Amino acid sequence: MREEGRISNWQLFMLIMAFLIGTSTLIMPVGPAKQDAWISYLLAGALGVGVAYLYTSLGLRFPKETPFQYAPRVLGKGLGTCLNILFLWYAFHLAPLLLLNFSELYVVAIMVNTPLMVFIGIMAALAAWAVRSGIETLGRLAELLTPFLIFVILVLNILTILTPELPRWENFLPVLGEGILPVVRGILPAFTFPFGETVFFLNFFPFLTSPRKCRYPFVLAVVLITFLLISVLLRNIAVLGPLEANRANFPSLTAIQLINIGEFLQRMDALIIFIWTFGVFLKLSVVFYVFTLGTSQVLGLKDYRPLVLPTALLLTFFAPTVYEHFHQMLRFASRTWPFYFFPGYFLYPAILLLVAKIRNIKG
Amino acid sequence: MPRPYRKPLRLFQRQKKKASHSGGSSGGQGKKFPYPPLDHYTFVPDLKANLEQLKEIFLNSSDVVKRDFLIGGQAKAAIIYIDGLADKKLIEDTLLRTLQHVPPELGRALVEKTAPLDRILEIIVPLADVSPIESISDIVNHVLCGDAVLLFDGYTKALATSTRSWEHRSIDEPLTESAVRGSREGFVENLRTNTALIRRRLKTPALRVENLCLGRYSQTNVALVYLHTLADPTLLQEIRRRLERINIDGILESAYIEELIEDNPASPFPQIDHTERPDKVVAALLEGRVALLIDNTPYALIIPTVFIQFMQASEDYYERYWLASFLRLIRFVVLNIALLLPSIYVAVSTYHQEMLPTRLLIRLAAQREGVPFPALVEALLLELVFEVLREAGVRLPRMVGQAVSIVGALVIGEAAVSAGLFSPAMVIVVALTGISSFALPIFAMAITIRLLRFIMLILAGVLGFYGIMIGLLAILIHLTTLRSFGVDYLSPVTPYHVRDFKDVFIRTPLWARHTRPTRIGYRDPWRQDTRLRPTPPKSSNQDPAEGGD
Repeated sequence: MREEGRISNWQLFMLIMAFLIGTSTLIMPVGPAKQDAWISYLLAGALGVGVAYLYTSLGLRFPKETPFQYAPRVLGKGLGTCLNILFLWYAFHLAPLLLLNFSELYVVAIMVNTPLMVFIGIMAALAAWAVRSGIETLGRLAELLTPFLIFVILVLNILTILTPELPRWENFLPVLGEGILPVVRGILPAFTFPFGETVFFLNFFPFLTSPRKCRYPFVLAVVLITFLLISVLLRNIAVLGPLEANRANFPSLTAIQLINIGEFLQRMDALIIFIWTFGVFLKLSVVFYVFTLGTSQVLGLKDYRPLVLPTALLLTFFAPTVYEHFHQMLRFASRTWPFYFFPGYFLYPAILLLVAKIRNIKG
Repeated sequence: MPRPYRKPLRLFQRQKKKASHSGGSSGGQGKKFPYPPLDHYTFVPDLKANLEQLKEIFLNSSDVVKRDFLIGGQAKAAIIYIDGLADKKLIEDTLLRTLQHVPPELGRALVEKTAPLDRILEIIVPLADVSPIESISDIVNHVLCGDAVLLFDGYTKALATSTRSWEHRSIDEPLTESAVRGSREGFVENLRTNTALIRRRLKTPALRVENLCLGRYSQTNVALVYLHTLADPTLLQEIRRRLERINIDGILESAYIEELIEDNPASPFPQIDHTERPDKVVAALLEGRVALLIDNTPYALIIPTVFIQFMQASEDYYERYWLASFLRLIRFVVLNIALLLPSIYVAVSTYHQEMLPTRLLIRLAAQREGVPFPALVEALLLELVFEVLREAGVRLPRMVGQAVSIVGALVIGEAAVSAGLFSPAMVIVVALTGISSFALPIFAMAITIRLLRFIMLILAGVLGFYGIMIGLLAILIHLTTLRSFGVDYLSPVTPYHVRDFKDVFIRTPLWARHTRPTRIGYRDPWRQDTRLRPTPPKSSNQDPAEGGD
């Protein structure tokens, strides 16, 4: 076994929540639906529950193996390995994307004069340490931090709403003013980022203490986070209005900077930095972990740990080249990512499940 | 030179085997082997030769007393003991006097060997705790432990009489863990007194005291104390294994053992708790933990220890639970202040001024006007001054200590601010941090936090809030991987045990704490009846006969 650690289903629940909170609460593109974006997110969450069923069905079918192990068995050695490598590529693309995303947030928002590489390098090193410490550490970090993340997000939401004359509820009107089409167009980007990315948790099922019960925490996490994301989105639209919320790079940050209760509770940026750092760190560690573990399994290594440091270095130097500027990233996230990532979040698990069902292969 | 030094442990290994055969029965006596070994000396039936050998072994040490005398005026005998360890009065008044005045027939019987030695000794020796010994090294052992050893001419048998008694500190109030309410007894340096303090609180045969002897020269007695119905056998096995591999010249303090058996020697966090309070040890034993008592130190080690224990004071359990819970929550706040306050101040005033409310910012900026150092240097300097003052106060005699605090508070605090070297805000921050670290109940954790504070300070000074965040993340990653004897350091928070949460952030009432810690006391999870909540009769005019159950 390449990983001796086990995580409880509760830890998986926390980990998925942290993963979904990760970067999405910061960027939260409003998209084409404008003030109706929350409906898109609601429907995207429903889709997220659907794919959660798909992923957990695979997890239930193969409770002792990661997809990297059973894919060659299900699809045949050639095709299975090819798809595995493709899947690894998505992990390897997403990890530096997260790194750069996060570091750029720091540079743009609070530490303007610090070179980007400082943030990228240190974060990659920390994530490498966590990944090297094993899956147990990831589960426990999530268990410790996720409650705080959710708590802080909720508190910030409440404080924004309590700030006098800040939320303008008429921003939501008119509901479905331009018909249903923009809402439908907004579903796919909202679904792939962040819900579709939970496909990486396929690799976590075999390390659960009770893999037979993986469905409940997975679905519950997706449902809860859907509502949390919608609350953040509603807050952003109410405070900034749909146009400004779409224009701002970090609508959540802009909204939170407007909190002002009695001239004392103001400038809560520190709290949202807390969410950034810890949420993104967890998300990055999950993707990083999947990449190193998957690589070791595809290559047939005994242990994934020797790969951690080289991967961290690769990520560090790959990260600054992932995109040129932030708007390119936003475009990529909302226009390209849903289709580019489609084989990862849907085709790969769906083909695996379908073929395994037809050929009646079980783990 | 690897092999011969393992000798002091051999006995312990044999005991372990025996113990595993008989299902973990109590270990042996803390029997000692002298070091260096004395195997080449042989016990001969000639008093003079034996005394010569002993003289050679002890090399005329001034505290070894040897005295020849005649039993009943007939038989030649000698007594040997160490002045200061053996009870001189007992030896002189009781032992020697009785032996010298036994009837002459008995003395003659000893000389002529008409009766077996044991029989005669049964008659003539006036002490209860005696043991026959048959080798030179055993004689040396007993003498070194404070026994008086009787040697007889013509026999290869000696008699050790337990006369151990030496000057020691009487039971005193625990100095480092004083409590408003609760027992005033603290451990002392005498191992027997300490085990007795525990035994007096747990009058049950389930309380096992296993003795072993560590340290080649110091031959320190170490007692492994546990309730054998509760303690995890694999945990005990592991503790024994780790103690067994200790091969060192001397053990002077419990810290030696702590440092040699902990899980992660590189960690700044204490992984084994130590305490002076017998009631705290007993509480730990009742949870299924194991205690290690070490001779010559008033501290007991508690194994395994998790992080939360450093947030719990024994007084929490003696005060009303509302107050105790409040204090517990305050301690978590204090922990964060002690760790983070200076770094947050430095980060905000150096990098993130925009995060402060405007009026506060103006106030702080006005204060920092004219301060010649950057905030990081200012904070580091003041923190260092504070550490130096504390160190000086700890090491100095009490009379001089006051002078130090006057110099510290008045000269440095007052004068440095009015000279414009430090800003008053920074003095406030450092003082708050200092007080907070004093408010942590366990000193071992407080010093860890003190140390980490400097690292956080430097990180904050270099990278602002990002530095603080990565510092926190690094600490958390480290803590999640840390274990104390197989028990996760952050349990029950993570891994999450909902039943153990009754004693983490709040202290629930005693009648609601039904279970032992999940991971540690699993062998007998229920500690009390579940219906212990007091239910006094509702109205006062109720018949007292009905109110009972």
